[in-house]
Amino acid sequence: MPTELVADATNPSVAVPAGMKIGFFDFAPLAGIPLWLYVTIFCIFIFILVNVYWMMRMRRLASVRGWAESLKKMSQEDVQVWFISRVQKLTIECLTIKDNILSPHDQSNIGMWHVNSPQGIIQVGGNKAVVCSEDFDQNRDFVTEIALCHACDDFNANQEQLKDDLESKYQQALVVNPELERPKVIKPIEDCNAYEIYGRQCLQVINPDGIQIPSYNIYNPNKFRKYFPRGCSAMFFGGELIHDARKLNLRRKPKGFWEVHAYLMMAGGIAMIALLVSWLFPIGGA
Amino acid sequence: MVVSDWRGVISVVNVLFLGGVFNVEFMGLQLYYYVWALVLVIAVVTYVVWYYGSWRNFAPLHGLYYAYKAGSNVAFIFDQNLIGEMVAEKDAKCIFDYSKYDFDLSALNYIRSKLFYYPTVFLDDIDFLHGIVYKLGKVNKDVEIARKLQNGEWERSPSAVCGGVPLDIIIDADNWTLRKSIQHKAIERAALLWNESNPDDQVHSYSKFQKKLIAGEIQCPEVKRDVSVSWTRIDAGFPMDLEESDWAGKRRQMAETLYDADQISKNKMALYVLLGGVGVAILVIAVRLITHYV
Repeated sequence: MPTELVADATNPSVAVPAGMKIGFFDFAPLAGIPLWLYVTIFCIFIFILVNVYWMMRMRRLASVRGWAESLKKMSQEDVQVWFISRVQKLTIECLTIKDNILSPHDQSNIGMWHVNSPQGIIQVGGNKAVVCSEDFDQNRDFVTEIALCHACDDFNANQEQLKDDLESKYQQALVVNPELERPKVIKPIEDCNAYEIYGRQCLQVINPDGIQIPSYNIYNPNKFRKYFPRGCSAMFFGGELIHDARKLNLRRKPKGFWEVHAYLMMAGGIAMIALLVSWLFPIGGA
Repeated sequence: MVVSDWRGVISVVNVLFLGGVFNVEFMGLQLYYYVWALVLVIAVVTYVVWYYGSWRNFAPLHGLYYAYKAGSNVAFIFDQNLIGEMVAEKDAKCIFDYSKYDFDLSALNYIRSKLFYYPTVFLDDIDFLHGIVYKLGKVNKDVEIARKLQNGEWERSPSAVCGGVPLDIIIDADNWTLRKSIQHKAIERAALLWNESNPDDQVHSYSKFQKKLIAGEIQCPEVKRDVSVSWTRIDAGFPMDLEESDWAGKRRQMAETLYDADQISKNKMALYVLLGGVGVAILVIAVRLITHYV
């Protein structure tokens, strides 16, 4: 029930009950709603605006939220992993690492990665993470990939000159290491096989102290893809490990019935006894 | 029903709103003053909580938000040790900060000079209204400016997509992109000199600067042209021969897990059977007690 007041145009204080006060903001210019309510609604609007502003702002970071969330979920055996999927989507997850092998917590996901390159581990905001992609079963190191592409491109573009250089460098290197093998072939390094068979050796003879890369590089993911060994996907690697593990078990004597079921049988027995006792438990002297 | 009129102060109020519950006087002021203060304080506290509780935790990844706002790519800049940060494309690729240019606004009136949005000097396709919206929204157009000044020559090769924004990965082994580094300042000076003498072939991005540097067209002794990557790192990053023993431990551990899987699941089941049995027994006793005494 609204408080009925006695209106007195000449002395408003008479209309106000004791303990209450009216002022400028009680003026009700529209539909009987006083100004103070508009101001209150404006204040609430500011509050809502602050929240909407931050929600929209944080929503933009939703795809990298895994960066902070995976840290919260992490146990001693876990590591943060930045994934580049086959459709080039970047996600951040938390995986288990054991004996340098990364595997997902979800057993139905069979992908696994071998962490071979400690220098390929990235650090963002003080948190270390491994970079992996579905199409390669090792952890990725962008610097290495840039270096290899750069050296191979250089090598492929200057074949004739390199043949001469290589021969002279080989002769010089022989003085230091007489057992150094002569690079077998000089031809472009176009894929992983070529790199493996002769490419690496050629590149090392040309760049004995390491490969020089430009200081500033925009990494091109498609450039390095041609050097990925075929069939080295994370799924294949993980599947092979699971297969190998099963094969290992085939050579072992399977566990006997009692070995597997002993605790279950004991628990079942105890449960039955408990039920029987509860049924026969004397109540009220009965 | 409320009747009121206005004579500078409240003069006639015949019904107080909500029975005057907010007109109760406390320390000389009506309650609604305290309600306003409370709501505003909560708003400020909420702002601070959002900022320190959420936003600041993602500090190295804020570039994604700024890139989205600017409609550009986002870039991960890593040094040679792969310590990195996510930044908007302009921080990763543009040599110049166009907002720092000394624009002559003397010809504009006061309001126009306050509403001045510097990209309109370089880009023709921003009308006045959009200019105001972009200025208020703090939209950065430096990438578009740089691209235009380089006659459309711009290098992009996104490695991934992050939150719908294409992501470039950039290795900056000599701190070129750090705005306060000696290298950056030297690059800025050298590029400025080049642009003054070659207005038709301007340099505004690090990648174009590098091409000119390698070609010997620009001289900048303060920066390193190359860095070395050791064979140890290359062999680790791209191994040719991996021993099976590298993952033998994992394989053995998986075999053990598989071998014990059946027993582990039965042991878990045993625990549930035990707890269930004891639980039901307690329930039976409880029901019997209740039916006996009540």
